[in-house]
Amino acid sequence: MPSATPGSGGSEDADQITALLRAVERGEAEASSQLYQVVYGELRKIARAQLRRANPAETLSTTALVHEAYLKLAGGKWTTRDRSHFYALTAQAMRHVLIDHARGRMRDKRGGGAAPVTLDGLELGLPARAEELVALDGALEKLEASDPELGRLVEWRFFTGLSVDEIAELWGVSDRTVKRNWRLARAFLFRELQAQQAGG
Amino acid sequence: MSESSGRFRAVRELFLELSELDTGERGARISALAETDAELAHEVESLFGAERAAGSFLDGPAGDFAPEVVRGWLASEGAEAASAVGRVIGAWRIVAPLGKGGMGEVFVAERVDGRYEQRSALKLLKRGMDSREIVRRFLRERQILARLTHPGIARLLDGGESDDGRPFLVLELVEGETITEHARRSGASVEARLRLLVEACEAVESAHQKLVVHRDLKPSNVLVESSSGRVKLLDFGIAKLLSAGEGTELQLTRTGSSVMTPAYAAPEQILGEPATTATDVYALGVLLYELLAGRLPHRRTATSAAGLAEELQKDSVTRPSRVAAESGDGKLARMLAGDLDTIVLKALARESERRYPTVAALADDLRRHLEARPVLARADSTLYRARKFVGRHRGAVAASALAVVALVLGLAAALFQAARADREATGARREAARAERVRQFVTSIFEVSDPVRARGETVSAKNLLDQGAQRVEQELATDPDLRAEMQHLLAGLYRKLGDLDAARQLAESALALRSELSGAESSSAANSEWLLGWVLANQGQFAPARERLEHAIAVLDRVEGPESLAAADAREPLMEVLFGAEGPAATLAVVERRLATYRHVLGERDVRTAIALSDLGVVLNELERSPEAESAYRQSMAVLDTALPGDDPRAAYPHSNLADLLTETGRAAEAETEVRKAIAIRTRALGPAHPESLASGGLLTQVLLQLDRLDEAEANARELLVRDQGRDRFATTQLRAGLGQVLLRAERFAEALPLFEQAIAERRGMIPDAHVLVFAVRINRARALVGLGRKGEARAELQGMLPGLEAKGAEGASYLAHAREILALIDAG
Repeated sequence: MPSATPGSGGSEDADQITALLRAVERGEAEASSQLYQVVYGELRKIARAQLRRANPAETLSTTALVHEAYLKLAGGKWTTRDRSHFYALTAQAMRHVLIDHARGRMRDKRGGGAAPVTLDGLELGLPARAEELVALDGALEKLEASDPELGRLVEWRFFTGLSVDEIAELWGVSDRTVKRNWRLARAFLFRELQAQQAGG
Repeated sequence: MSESSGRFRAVRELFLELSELDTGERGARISALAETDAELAHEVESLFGAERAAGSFLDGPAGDFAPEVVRGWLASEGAEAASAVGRVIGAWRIVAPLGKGGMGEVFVAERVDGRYEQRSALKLLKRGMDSREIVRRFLRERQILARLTHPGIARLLDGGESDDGRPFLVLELVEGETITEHARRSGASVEARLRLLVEACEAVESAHQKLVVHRDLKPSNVLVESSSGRVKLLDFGIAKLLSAGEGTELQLTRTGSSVMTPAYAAPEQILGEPATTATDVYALGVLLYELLAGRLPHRRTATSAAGLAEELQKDSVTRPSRVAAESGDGKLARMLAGDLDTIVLKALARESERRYPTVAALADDLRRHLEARPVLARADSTLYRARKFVGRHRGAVAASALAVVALVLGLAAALFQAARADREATGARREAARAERVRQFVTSIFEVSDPVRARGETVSAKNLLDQGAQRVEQELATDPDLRAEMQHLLAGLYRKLGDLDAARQLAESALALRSELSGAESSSAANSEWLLGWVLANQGQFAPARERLEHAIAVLDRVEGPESLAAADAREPLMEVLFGAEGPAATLAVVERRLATYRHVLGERDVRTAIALSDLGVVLNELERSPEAESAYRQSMAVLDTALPGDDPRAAYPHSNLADLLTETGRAAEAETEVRKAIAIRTRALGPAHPESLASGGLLTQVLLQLDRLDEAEANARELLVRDQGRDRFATTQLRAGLGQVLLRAERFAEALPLFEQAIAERRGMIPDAHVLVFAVRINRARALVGLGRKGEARAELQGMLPGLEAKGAEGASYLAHAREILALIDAG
């Protein structure tokens, strides 16, 4: 019964998560992975609760999910750095959930393997096809290799639904800077996906 | 914002710079750049082209497609374990689900190709848990297990990555029950339980030798295998490498962890401090406790780190024997009382420094107990008690050069005379020559040749001895007889100076040389042996000290007869050891025998006889035979006051001891006279800042309190703190607590409280938390809190103490009564 069992509820979680954040600050690599487990567990718990109370037609959004997890876990004493760390982890978690799910569906349908990619779903903001998500993930990995910060920006914008304003505040830069960087990241990913399409 | 690497940094800078220009201007800039850096220009242009084509790409967050995904996500986890059966992972086929951990699922698996017949445990990282950090941690378990090959540790068979990219481990499958279940179900005897724990210790120790700390030892990770009956450790999932073997592990060495199981976690884990091998010692202590007492040592119910830390403050462990007694099992209680209680409590010490230094040491003590040998855990409390005894009757020798000169000359003279006596008896020329050389050698130590070191009075006692020791090694290599003589002499001096390591080394060499020259059962070897025993006792190594002393005394009694003065002298350290280890009753015969020899050989008016009388008084007083003690002290001082010069600190012993006795029996006015005499002698002989002088001053504070002379008591207590130079940290906390008591009596609670709090904090680092002297200050703190109207805090503090005080038995009885009294007052008011 490890104390870091995901999601044991309430302010105790907040206590624990704050302690973990301090440990991360001290450079304890392990604390970071525990923090991830707590955040991941909390997201799941909230998702389950949302699912129970939602009417079947209603949309469950990751943005709402992350927001609720934030309200649940963040203590009053969180610094900008703590919040950044939290969003980085939720973004990571949401990315995993979505991509894993997509991979799973692809495997179910075809027993795995690469499929031709179109950009329709992502472009229209409609439920994307699994293949598209998986392709996006690959492109994002390339972006991360060239520029980790831009990679993070995409994770935060796309997977946790943070707004430009929110990101600017967390990073301590202007909206304008975030917007210009976002344009670059988007262009990079789009070009990468186009190239894949052409090659696939 | 500048994490972009190499080439991409230039691309990013340019893109950002050009992004807000209009299309025409941007095109012009790119064309211009193409002249100098065509590649960069092309790259940036292509990105702007992609941007134009991207439309609303990625404008909506991923959240828009969440409902389906979230359902899938939530559904996936439960279903996976069941559906995994039959799945092939690497060379293994999953046979059945086995369990679930924080990050992985565990299955029973078998080799697809049947190359390994036994069924194994396959641990697969859970889906969604594959963040980089967690994958790294999972892989580390594999790395750690690969190092560990011990029959008591479930071994690693294989590892790899599944089709969908999740790492897995294959481990030896241990079929059995937890160590506690096994003990309960099989009705194992205490001895069998201890042997199981020793086995667990051996496995943990083997991991420690490979620099791996387990960090999560608890029954579910310590199994007894059904087929072999052997203990096997599982789950090194949160284990830690203590030092880096390879570069990749370097960053792991700093990781502390808050993954743990509260009931078995050591205080440092709860406080978020780094785990060490002592952390595993603690967890093994909890297991041992559970095996012996049948329940956990603490009740830890909080689920947050802060809550656990708070509970930790109130932790106090009830001795296992007491738990047994309370549950009506008197026989078990008797088996546990003594050694086993001591061992368990030492393993469970709150401060890691007070625990067994290694798991091997814990296992050793358990084996000692199983073999009915003396247990070393006693050293902790014994050292404290012995120190207390020593402090009560014996002044430390001032470490001044002058004192050593006096000692050396005195010993040289003694040696010389002894040699002359030998010569007269045997008529041997060789003896005469030897005596002369001893004298010359000792004298030459003082002819300091190094002018730098000889300047002024900077030649310290230690310098002199170091030079002497060095010259013994250099110049007496060919004269083993004289060499042994000098080593013995120097060992005695180093001991008095408090350099115990040097003393021990020299005493060991002298003993070895003399055993070689005259035989191990000779009186000369026995003399070095008891000196060695004394040094060991000073070092707190009571069991080996006692062995040495008892052997030496037996030899001396046999070789020199019942009137042996050397044997009587050797009974002094033996008395100290026994008093600490076994208490006053066991010590009485030794003190009486020593006194009888001195009386018979040296006479009633000899200094040694008088000092032995004072020692006898201490033992009698501890046995609550205070009238006899008082008479012994008075006889002793009658001799010492006249036989010793006024600046000999030994003259203070009986006065100081008698003052103690009088204070304890409420005869404060008489006590004042005696304690003032002791203070006068000690101040004269040792100086006002010497710990002995200060200790007597502290007693005066108590006496003045008893006499209700609060102003004088306060002035005295404050002056002592000013005088104190911190030479003896424990003495300093005594003085602080003493001033606190005065202020408490004066009802100046706000001033008293911080003094007690500081004293508690200081004591916690020096003596066990459960020591009565810690309780004493805590009770005073509670009284100050009551005075300040903070009754809730006071009640919590007192109630937190009760179990610990109850566990102390007779030693804690008066404190317990006091604590209860205050509690009753709180509740009444």
